[in-house]
Amino acid sequence: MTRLSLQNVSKSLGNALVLKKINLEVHPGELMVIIGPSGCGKSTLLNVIAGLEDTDEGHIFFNEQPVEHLAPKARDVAMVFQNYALYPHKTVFGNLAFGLKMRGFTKPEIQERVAAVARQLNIHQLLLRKPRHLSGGECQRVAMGRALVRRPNIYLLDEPLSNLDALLRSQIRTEIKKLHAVLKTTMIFVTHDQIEAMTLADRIAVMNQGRIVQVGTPDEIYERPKTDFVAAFMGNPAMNLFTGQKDAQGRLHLHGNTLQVNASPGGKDQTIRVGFRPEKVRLGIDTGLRFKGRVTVLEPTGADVFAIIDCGGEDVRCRVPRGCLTVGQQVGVSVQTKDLHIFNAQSGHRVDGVKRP
Amino acid sequence: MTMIKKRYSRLRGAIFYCGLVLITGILSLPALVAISTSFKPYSEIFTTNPTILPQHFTLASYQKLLAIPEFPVYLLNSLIVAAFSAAIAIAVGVLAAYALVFFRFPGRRVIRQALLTTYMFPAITLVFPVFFGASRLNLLDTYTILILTNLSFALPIAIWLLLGFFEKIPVELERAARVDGCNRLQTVFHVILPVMLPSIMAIGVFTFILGWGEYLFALTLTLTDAHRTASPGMHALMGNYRIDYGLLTAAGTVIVFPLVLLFALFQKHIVEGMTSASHHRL
Amino acid sequence: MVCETKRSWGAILAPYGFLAPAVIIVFGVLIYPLVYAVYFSLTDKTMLVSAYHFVGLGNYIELMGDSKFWQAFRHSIVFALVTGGLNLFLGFGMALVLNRRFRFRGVFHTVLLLPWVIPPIVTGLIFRWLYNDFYGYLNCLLLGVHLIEKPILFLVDAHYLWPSVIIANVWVEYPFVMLMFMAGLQSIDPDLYRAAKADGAGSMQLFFHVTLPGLQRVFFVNVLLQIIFMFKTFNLVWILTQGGPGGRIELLSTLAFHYAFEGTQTGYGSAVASIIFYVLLILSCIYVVITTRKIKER
Repeated sequence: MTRLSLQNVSKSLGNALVLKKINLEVHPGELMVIIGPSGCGKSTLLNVIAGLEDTDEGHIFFNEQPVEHLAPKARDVAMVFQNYALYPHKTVFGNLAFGLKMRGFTKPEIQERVAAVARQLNIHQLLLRKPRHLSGGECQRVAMGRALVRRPNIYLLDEPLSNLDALLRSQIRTEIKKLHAVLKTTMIFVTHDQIEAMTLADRIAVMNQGRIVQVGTPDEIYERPKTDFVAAFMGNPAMNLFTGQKDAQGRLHLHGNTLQVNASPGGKDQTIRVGFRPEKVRLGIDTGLRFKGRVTVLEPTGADVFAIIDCGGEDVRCRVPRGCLTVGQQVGVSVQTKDLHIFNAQSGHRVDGVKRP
Repeated sequence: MTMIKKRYSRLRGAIFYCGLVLITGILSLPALVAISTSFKPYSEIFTTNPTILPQHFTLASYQKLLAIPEFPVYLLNSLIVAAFSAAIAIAVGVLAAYALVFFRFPGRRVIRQALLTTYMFPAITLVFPVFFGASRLNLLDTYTILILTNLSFALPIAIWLLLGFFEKIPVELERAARVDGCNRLQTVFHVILPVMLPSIMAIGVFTFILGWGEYLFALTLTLTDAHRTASPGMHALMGNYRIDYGLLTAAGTVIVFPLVLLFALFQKHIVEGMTSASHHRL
Repeated sequence: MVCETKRSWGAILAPYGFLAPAVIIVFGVLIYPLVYAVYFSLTDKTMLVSAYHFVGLGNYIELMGDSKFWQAFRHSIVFALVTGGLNLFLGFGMALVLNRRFRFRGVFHTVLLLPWVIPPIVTGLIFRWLYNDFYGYLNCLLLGVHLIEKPILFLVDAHYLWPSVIIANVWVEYPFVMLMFMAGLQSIDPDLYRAAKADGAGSMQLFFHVTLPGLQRVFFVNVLLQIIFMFKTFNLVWILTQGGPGGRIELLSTLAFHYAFEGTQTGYGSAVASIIFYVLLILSCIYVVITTRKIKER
């Protein structure tokens, strides 16, 4: 099991600074998910860890050994790519065996390892086929297999499920989780899909514009987003975010409401961003933050309904049980003070100190 | 209504085909005339009333051509020179194109532009210094100097076309190979070459075609029949057999035939190469 | 804490190692001879005497008063513009035709491309035979339909020399342009045509509002490439005419060859050849500057 540690890693491609002083610790055997919008640098980060790109600055350690000078071969990591990148001229067997062959394994060893992995992934009947005769799901398994036979220090997965259809994606997601439980090898999984992130991760690192914004368990990320970016990015439907004022007494003024909130640092008037999750919105006027408005959109999602309520020009998104709202209906809704997330409007940093279970 | 429309579109189709066949006919007429002349008997060649197709098909001109002992030597020389220059252009070009596509390094853009701009250098400017250089190095009338001078156009073209093909390789494929433990050279041999083999062969064929018929350097740098390639050989024949157009067109047909064959076989990949190359910037 | 990572020399030098063979060959067979050509153009070198002297810009100054040089310069410009223009016209037209879908398209495609692979010496032979004064098809055909009374000397007669040579050149050069335009046509997003059709555009409007704008870059590149290629033409003109009787179709390239090899004035001929290079260099620079600027705009 390998501990991965990145210290002040920076990388620029052309004139663009893609990674800005990245610091990250991945514990041995952990499954770390890196998530962020496209272009945030998450794939570059994987390439840097694999040694496919050089760092401009900073250090990378595998178990306290600096590896930033080492070629990919010496780092002994395995990678799974979004487009699978199977060798089109090799059979499935050839694809699985190639990494072992390049590392000087003997023929019987290669046979044995490939056979074992092929059985494990249920692709043993495909071993003699060329990639162009495989379905998308089969390609994905072969790509996984090519990483597994190597038994590397670290697995790096670069959006490995993005090219699959929805059903297959959730199946293989579950399989990866099971696989990781068995292998207990350090794994870094890059995605832009928050459901993948939430379901798979031991911990999540959220990236934006070349920086790691927050690292934490899925619960921490969801319950206590460090910035309004994380708050808005994680969660579906997205968190409601409104701009309000906070006065010197620590009172929040938003949409005609005045609430006492536990937000630091107080002292003077400031513009803040107030957020709350759609599922925390309760029907009926209650305590806390209150809104009144007209239901404009209802989107049934099966178990419950996602509603948009137009409250005087601002849309409040909420998740409610089925059948209790109709379009055009006037409703009042409220959110409890403890469910509010408060961020500094300029820096985007969280300013409330409310503790949550 | 639809009947009329259908008939109208059929008519248009027929006109289109007729026009196309006519244009293609006119454009291939010069070559057809030459080929057919090579199969005509003497009396049909030198007549003021020639037909497009030979009325009496004969191989007399080809028999006469075979009786010229130098002619097969010309072809063999062309084969040697074109094959070696194509092979070197491919080997060197693959390495260069790989570096230009898959490495990131200072000066990449400048080197790329410089290499591609050399494609525009006029051969006529190079030929005098090359002649004197070759004579000083005792390379006049050798295969070596012909192969080297062929590289002056074969290599830039090969790089130009290879860049077009390599840029279509998914970067992940190259990365997968390196993660699997290849160094850069192994990546070229184990992944890039096998994946791009048909395209690379097409480029080889294309540079071979150009080398086979290269004229200016071959004319100025060869002195004896021993090293004359097809072009200066043909030039000599055109001097020696000035008006024997049966023999000359037969020689021309024999010289072009392998090129047509190669081109037809590799056309798809050559055209594809030109297509992708025409999109990329200098 | 800023820590510069030190990369191994091997990793830093690897790309240059891969490029080295290509760069060495390009230097050996292109750059070095070119520099020597420019150097020769500054000397009084001749073919026969091995000793020669540096004469500075003497050759160039002499060229300025050489009427043959100016005539060849004019010829080269006219030749490049006319031949290049015809190549573009025919190449674009045939590309439009072949871009349609019809049966046997592949066959037509191959047949039309074939002249491209014919070596210049064989093209020269083909057209010499076609233009032959007594037995050539063209003269026999024109005589047969009584358009003319006596055979035309296509490669000698001042009225026919230029068109005859240009036609032969276009015959071998236009397939390349056709290929480039076909590539350009295929790179136009088919959804643009669908969108324009949905907006009610007819075939003329499709051509002017989708096809032509989509080919802007291809047009530009090909116009410049054609001027460049045709300006340095040598082979076919030399094979067919050697500059023509009285230098009627003497181009800069053939003049350089005449001076340097046949007239043995290597230095003077090199000056002519170098001028071709200077012109191409300027054109290439324009090409590079404009194409890179176009890319930045995107």
